[in-house]
Amino acid sequence: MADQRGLLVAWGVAETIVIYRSAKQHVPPRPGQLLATSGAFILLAVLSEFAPELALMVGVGIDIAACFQVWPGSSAGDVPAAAQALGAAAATP
Amino acid sequence: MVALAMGITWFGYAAGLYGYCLTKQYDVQFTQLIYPTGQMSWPPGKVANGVDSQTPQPTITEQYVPGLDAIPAALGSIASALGALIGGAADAAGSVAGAVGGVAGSVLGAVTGGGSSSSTSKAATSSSSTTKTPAAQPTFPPRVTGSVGTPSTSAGQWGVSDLSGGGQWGVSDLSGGR
Repeated sequence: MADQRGLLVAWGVAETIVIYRSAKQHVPPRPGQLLATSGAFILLAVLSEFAPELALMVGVGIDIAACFQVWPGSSAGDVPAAAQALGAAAATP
Repeated sequence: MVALAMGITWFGYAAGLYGYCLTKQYDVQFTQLIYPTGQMSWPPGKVANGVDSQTPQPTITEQYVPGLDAIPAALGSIASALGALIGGAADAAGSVAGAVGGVAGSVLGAVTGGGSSSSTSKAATSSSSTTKTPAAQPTFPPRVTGSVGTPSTSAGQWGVSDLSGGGQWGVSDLSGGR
C-alpha cells in the first residue's frame, strides 16, 4: 500500500487538472469528464498491486496527457449557459 | 482497496451532483451527467412548471413528499464518506484518497443540507400558494339503473347515436340489456 502513494498523488493531479479546466469556466466538472481519469487510475491501482513502478509511470503519463489536453475529458469542459446564449445571439444575423 | 476508494469517490460525486440537480429542479438525467463525451450547458434548463416534458406523466396525481429529492445527494454523501473511510483506514498511503473523499463528502453534505432545507421550504410554499389540482376526470352520461330489461329509448342513452357521439358506450353496454 505504501508504494501506491505516488499513484494516489498522480490521481489527484489528474483530477485537479480536469476540475481546474472546468472551474475556470465557472462550470462544475461533469462526472463523465472524470470518468476516463478515474477509470484509468482504478485500473492502475489494480495494476500497482503487481507492478507499482509501471503503474506509477503510466499514471504520470496520464498527468502529462491531461496537461496537454490530449487525455479524454481534460479539454475545456461544459459551456456556461450565459456564454452559450451569447454565442447563439452572435450567430443570428 | 485504493481502487475501491477511487470508484466510490467518483460515484459519490456523480450521485451528489445528480442530487444537486434534482434539488435545483434542473432538467438533466443521470446518464447525461456520466456520459463521457459531448457538452452540455450549465446550468441546464429547469423543468417547466415542475413537470418533465420528456417522460409521460401518470394520470394519478402524486403527492409531493418533502425532502425526497435530496435522497440521491444524501446517498452521494454517504458514498463519499465510505470512500474516505476505506481510503483512510487502509493505510497511511490511502490518506490522500481519504482526504479527497472527505472533502467530497463534506461538500456533498453541505449541498444535501441546503437541498433539504430548500425542499422543505418549497413544500411549505407550495402547500400555501400552489396546490396541485387533480387531473380532469372523464364525464360519462348517467346510466339507467334498475331497468335492464326495458331500456328507455326516449332518453337517447341506448341509441346508435350514442356510439358515434362520444364513443363512451362500449359494445358490452349495448348487449347487456338486450
